[in-house]
Amino acid sequence: MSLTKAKIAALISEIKHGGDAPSKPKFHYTIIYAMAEVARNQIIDIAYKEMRKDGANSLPGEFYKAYKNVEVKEDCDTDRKYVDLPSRIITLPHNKGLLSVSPMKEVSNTFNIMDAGSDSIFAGLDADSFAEPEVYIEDERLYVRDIPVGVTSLLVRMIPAIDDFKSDDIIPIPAVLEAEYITMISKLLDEEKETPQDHYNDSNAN
Amino acid sequence: MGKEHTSGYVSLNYIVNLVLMDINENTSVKRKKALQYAILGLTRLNLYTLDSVRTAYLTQNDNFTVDVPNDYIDYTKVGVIVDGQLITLSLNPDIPFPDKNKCTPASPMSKDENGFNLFGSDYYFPDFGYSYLDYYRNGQYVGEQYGLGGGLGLFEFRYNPEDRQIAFTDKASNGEIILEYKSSGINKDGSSIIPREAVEPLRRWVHWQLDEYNDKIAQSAKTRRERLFLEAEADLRHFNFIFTIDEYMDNKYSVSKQTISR
Repeated sequence: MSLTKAKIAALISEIKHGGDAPSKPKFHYTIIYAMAEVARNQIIDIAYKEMRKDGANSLPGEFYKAYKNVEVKEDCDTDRKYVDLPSRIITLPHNKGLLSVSPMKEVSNTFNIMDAGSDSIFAGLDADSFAEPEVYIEDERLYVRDIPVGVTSLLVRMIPAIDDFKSDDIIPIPAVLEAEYITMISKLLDEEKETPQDHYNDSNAN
Repeated sequence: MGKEHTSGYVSLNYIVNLVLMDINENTSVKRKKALQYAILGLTRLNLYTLDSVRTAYLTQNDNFTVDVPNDYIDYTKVGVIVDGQLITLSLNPDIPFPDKNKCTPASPMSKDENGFNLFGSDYYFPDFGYSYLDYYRNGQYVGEQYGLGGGLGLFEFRYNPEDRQIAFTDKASNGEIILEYKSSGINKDGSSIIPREAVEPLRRWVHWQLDEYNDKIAQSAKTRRERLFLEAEADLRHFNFIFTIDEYMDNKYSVSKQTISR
């Protein structure tokens, strides 16, 4: 089952209400969306730690999303080229949130992924003189160096945060983790379900 | 269709990809770091283990100097061609270096009593020959050459490491110097080639270097990596010094003779 925000909201609503949800459900869909994002970030963190524990270096490909034809722009103030991050990126240690950046038709010819600021360390070293294309994340942009001549758009593969996903966008998550994911969202909402609603506008918490 | 064979040479990228494959690294996060270590490793192997002598034809500047190639580490021979023959030149540590900003030589050209350039086609002196290595020029194979000995004090050179130039006391008749030199093996355009036998030591070197400065890795693991590299390097050294059957037979016949057995 491909999970979307709308599907998750419907599922959670059903689970929490023990069947068909009333017309005014206890959980507003925006709350479920927010919890879906929190739970997914946690799932990614768990998957990353398991990966490290197993001695592996790669997360399952289902976590990643490919963004095609991302336009290359120029930052005239600093003379750097960049692309806008197509979505908020999930930052993981060792830049694992970013799988690859490459020209559209050359998926195997990926740019070197660097840490922001590392260009000053490599400046003057032999590896820098090879002028291989490279990329680093800074703010909400992906800055690129030594981009091949004529390349005007890029293929960006990364783990996106889902806050700016539309309700019918498929959430990138491995199928084997879907049950755990739904359970996690449900548990995160337990507190809200069990706590009686505060009907008085005062400073007392229930 | 003929048999397919793998190439006898590989590139630096081959080594880097091999290392990244070993550690299951599917992104290019460590690529540049691994490339830098591979370059350092290749330089080390070229200095101490691999046979990495190259030949370059260099045009003399107006002040009689030549600029050495980027990958130059040290010269093995310096010579000129006169009348189709190579003449090896002599080192003279007393040659003054010319001003880099001027086109004039630091020392005057040697002239004979008639004012002719002393070093010309009529002036070469047979002496001990030095063998040059085979190389390719413009795609043509140039076999072993023999340079005639220098040491005559007419045309000498001195290396200027600061400016990466070689200064000469004279101008070659055709303005061209032949330099045979020890190379770092690194081409700035990324076209450096690595012989197959050097793949394993280089691969182990990069693994060792990636771990060496990581404080989270146990010292025992680092020491093991170092040992693995040194073993592979020793294998490479052995490979380079091994002789062919012809070389063995030549040597055998040169020291033995047939006599009547009594």
